[in-house]
Amino acid sequence: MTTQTKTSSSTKTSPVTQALETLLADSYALLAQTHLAHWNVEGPAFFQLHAAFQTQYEELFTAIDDIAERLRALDAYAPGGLKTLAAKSSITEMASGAAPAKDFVAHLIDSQEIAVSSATALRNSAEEHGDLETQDLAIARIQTHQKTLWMLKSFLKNL
Amino acid sequence: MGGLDQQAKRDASLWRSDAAGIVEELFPVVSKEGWDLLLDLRQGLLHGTHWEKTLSLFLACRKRWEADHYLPFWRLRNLLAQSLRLSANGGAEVSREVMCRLLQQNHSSWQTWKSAAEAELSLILNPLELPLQMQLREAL
Repeated sequence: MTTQTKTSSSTKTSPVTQALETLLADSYALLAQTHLAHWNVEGPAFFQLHAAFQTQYEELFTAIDDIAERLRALDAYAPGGLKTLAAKSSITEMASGAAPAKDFVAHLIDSQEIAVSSATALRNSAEEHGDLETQDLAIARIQTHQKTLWMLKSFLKNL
Repeated sequence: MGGLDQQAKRDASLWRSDAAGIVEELFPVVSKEGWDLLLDLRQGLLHGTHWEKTLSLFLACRKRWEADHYLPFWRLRNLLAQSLRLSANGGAEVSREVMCRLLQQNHSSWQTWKSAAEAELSLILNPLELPLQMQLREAL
């Protein structure tokens, strides 16, 4: 009888865990972009946007923990590190410099829409594989991102 | 090799259909009087090779509708900054960052946009190269 040790190769990867990894990476990238917007936004709407972006990145921080812990619950390891997560995410980076406040909002709308796509792919994969708990997590993420999108898009209207 | 070149060209031209798709989203939300201008811009983005003309159409549309529809114009602006190259005298190209900055500025015509671009380029080029012959081309 051989002794088995638990290594990364012994963890379970599946379409569901791969979709969780993508959502984790996109959520982390979105958090970083929202944090950047929180720091660099300027103009008459500063106080409003600065506070709104903080609420958004704090919510994302909690969500990222839940997504990573769901990966662990499925016996997969969570990817980490800025380079690794950036390589797995399709969210683009905004240049760190002066930009109109509306550009920060527009960039975050694009990024939130990517997060919705990732969460939707996760929801569909979890449904296909009968993983209702992961599906529930994905649905909650879709709802949160859609609500944030509504708020960001409302801000841009007739500005 | 030829096949790879063809594939690269196909991939690069995907931005054109993305840009045309953004313009199409504007039709239902602007008045019918503006549709001809949008159709010209869509045509230029999809099939055009005269980029100065297409940029002029973009600037005209932006002037008219950006205040009410910021997001599609922000998206178009980013696609143009990524996909077009601006060079002077057939040589020096402005960086993508400068291209983004130029497109961010609220110029309403190709002439004023070109003047701003010339001012940017004159800072990085040898003064002997002035005056500049500006050229816009697709990055393939």
